[in-house]
Amino acid sequence: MSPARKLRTLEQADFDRLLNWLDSDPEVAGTLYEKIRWRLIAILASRGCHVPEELADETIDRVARRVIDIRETYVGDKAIYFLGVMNNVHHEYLKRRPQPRTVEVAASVEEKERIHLCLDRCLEKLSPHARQIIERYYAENKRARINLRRRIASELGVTASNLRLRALRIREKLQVCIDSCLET
Amino acid sequence: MTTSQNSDLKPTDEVIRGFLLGCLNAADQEEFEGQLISDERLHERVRHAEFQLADEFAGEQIGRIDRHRFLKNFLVTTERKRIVAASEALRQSLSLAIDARAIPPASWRHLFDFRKSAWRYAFGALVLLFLIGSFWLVTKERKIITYVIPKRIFRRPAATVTPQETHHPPNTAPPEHRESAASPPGHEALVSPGDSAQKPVVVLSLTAGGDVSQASSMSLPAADVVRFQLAFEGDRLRPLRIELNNLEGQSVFFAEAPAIEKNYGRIDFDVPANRFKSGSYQIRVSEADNAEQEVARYYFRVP
Repeated sequence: MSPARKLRTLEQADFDRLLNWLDSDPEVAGTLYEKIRWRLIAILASRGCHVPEELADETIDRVARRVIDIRETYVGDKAIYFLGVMNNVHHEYLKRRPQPRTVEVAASVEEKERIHLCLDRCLEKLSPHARQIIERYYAENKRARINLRRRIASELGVTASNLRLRALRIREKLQVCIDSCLET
Repeated sequence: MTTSQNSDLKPTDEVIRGFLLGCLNAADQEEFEGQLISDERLHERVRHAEFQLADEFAGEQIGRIDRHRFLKNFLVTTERKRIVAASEALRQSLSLAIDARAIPPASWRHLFDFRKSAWRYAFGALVLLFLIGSFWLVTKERKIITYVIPKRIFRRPAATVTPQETHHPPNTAPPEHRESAASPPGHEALVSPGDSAQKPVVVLSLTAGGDVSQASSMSLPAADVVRFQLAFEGDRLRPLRIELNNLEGQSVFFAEAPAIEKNYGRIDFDVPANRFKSGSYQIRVSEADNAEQEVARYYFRVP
């Protein structure tokens, strides 16, 4: 077996061990893994890191390699362990020579068309009530939007903050649907 | 790294926004990170704040400084770029939809705005329908065409002797008459215009002999029957009476011409040649039911 193949095999084994350490239920473990990764990325981005996804994955890899050693002895919130490893990874990143940041390129016309197409498909999948909420929540004019949201909240018999929460949850579902659509 | 779970930092919306834009101070940043990494509810709030921030950016409702922070510290992940792209798409399509619904039509004129595509298609379909209908009528309903465009009636061709009109000024040589082989006389009767073959013809026009002093001299053909062709003006819509007399008043020929629909411009009649002697003659055409109503008068002289 070549060293590269051995490394990949070990990584897959480490990853499976990591998931098992997070939770014995693979589905719950997968959800926890996604959430921890998302939080690491958010924290790294907030710290001004230009490659937060890369550092988050590096952090997870390091934890996965250590799980075999700590799984029997570690006590407490496992997510905090990730945060500690991430601090080390980030510290190393800061010590490295700063890499030039890639210039952002605006989405091409084709990409925008794809996004619009996926958005239309995902909007159609929403329930009529959910669609009504999100359509009315996104008004064009800011002043009109505020008044409109108050009116919608009044019509639905909820507070403005509750309406916002509902709309954002629908928006989150839409984003998951759009991402899935774009990947297909 | 250790974080305090019982910190005093309240993760308000402003703190969350500051975290996402990377503008918290070091202490708050560290404290917030500790809360976020293990707080499920805060995770959801930060997630929602991401969408809200992306919506504000897409709607250009974010200040200049925050915009700079947004580009530097927020828009650094693939997922967030997708969120912003979706926010832009959502804002565009839903705002248009809301605008279209929120603004009622100004008046019924909005409905009849002929610049709309629907009207253009409707007119196009109407023109197409008209063309198809016209084609169908032409190909399937020929009766209608013949009704609209009357059928042209062609007269039956007949061989006739070319008439020679006696337009001769006074004191000139007598007109020449074409003569052909004479046929036996039948009876005194008007003849149809096409029945002049093989008979000598004398053509008299109204203007040629309107006055007895201007009567043309003509030599009758050596035939048993002489055919006269009276050219006249106007329609022949009523029956006519034709009298051929000598100047002494003796009747040489008499006939009635029935009214006909078409104006042939002439009346033909045959007269036995032996009834003519040397002298002047008059042909008087009047209405059949009213002899006083003269239609035309012709004079000619037989040498």
